[in-house]
Amino acid sequence: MANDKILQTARYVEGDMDDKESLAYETQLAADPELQQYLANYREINLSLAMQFADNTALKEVLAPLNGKYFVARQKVPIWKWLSRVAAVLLFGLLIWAPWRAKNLADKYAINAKMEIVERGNTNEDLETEVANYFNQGNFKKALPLLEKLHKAHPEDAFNTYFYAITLAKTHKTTQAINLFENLFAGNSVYKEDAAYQLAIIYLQQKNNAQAKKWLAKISPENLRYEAAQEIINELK
Amino acid sequence: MAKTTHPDQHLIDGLVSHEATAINEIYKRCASKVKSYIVFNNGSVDDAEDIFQEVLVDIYNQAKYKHLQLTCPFEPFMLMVCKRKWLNALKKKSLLQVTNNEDDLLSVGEDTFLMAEQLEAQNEKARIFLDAFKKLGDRCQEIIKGSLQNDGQEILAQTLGVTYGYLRKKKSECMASLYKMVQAKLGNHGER
Repeated sequence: MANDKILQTARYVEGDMDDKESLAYETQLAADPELQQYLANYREINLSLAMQFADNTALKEVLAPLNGKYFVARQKVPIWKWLSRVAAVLLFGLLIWAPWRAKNLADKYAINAKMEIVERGNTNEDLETEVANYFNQGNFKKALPLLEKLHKAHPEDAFNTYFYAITLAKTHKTTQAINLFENLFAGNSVYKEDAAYQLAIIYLQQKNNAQAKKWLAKISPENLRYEAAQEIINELK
Repeated sequence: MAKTTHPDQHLIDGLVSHEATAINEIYKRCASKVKSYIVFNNGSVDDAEDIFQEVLVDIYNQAKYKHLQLTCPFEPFMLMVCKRKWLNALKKKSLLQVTNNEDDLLSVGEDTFLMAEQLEAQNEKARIFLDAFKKLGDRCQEIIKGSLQNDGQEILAQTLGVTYGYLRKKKSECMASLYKMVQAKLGNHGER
């Protein structure tokens, strides 16, 4: 019976019925919810396949130059520049982070976040590039006021908020950082669970293991930080 | 109650009509964030470019063929869809544990999440339909694909060397077979 209805539906849609059969199908259709559902599903399958077989070449040709403009990998840095940057980072690390100290969990599992420098064509572009340069160089003191300015201008911008919160944490303005990360977690941006992870790292630095575990537990298994979060939870047991 | 269309709908309309201004605005608003997110999460710039374009094509098709109406701001919607597509790609590469954990869905209720969910569900259905299509015989595939791509079925009939009547009859049978495979996969009448 069901097979009959499916074939009849296919014949009706494809114009393979004569007038008498079409009329009979339409009469049955008006009184048969199951047949109505078959017809709706049939049209959905037909439309979905039409979408998948559609030729999107024209659209892709429009997108191609923009892809080239907005998705450019950062230029390779000459080796001497790279070595001098490494040396600067190491020196900075020696002075500020004191790596000879025993590594704790916070150090071990901290995220080495980088701000991507991409042309966005907006009015803040120069400022954003400057911020990203400072941030990626580890110069958080210089990045901080600029990120604060960007955040005040666009508090809804999760990208800037996330990096502003990291910078606050790096410059020991922990309470403000926690507030921002909590706000990010309360929202629905792509940084939601990364914010939870960052909160856990802050609490680990403060030796507040209970709070750290609380935030780590909020990280879902599909998040990239999940395995690290579980490892920390296990180490805290 | 019908939801109000968001003013950002003009971006989707612009995408459908290949308007440079609207498409530029989409890239300006979203490209750097998608790139940052993917590069930050085990991906490359090329991965980000691929995901961004795939999502734009998905949105384009949904708008062109199914009249997608935006009920939330475009930017978070785009970012959410890209994020989900990237996480699915990582799962396929086995870089992430595959899970059916429902916790991730607890925040559904926001328009952005709902729209992203709907687009993902449409894509999942499309995948099932295409899988069923690929299980059909060569002749059926040729007839269905040809009739969906060509403007006139009469021309297709000539190309295939069959009568127009035969083509319609054969297509009905092929589509019925396809429907039954989808139904077997999804249960009930093929609904999800």
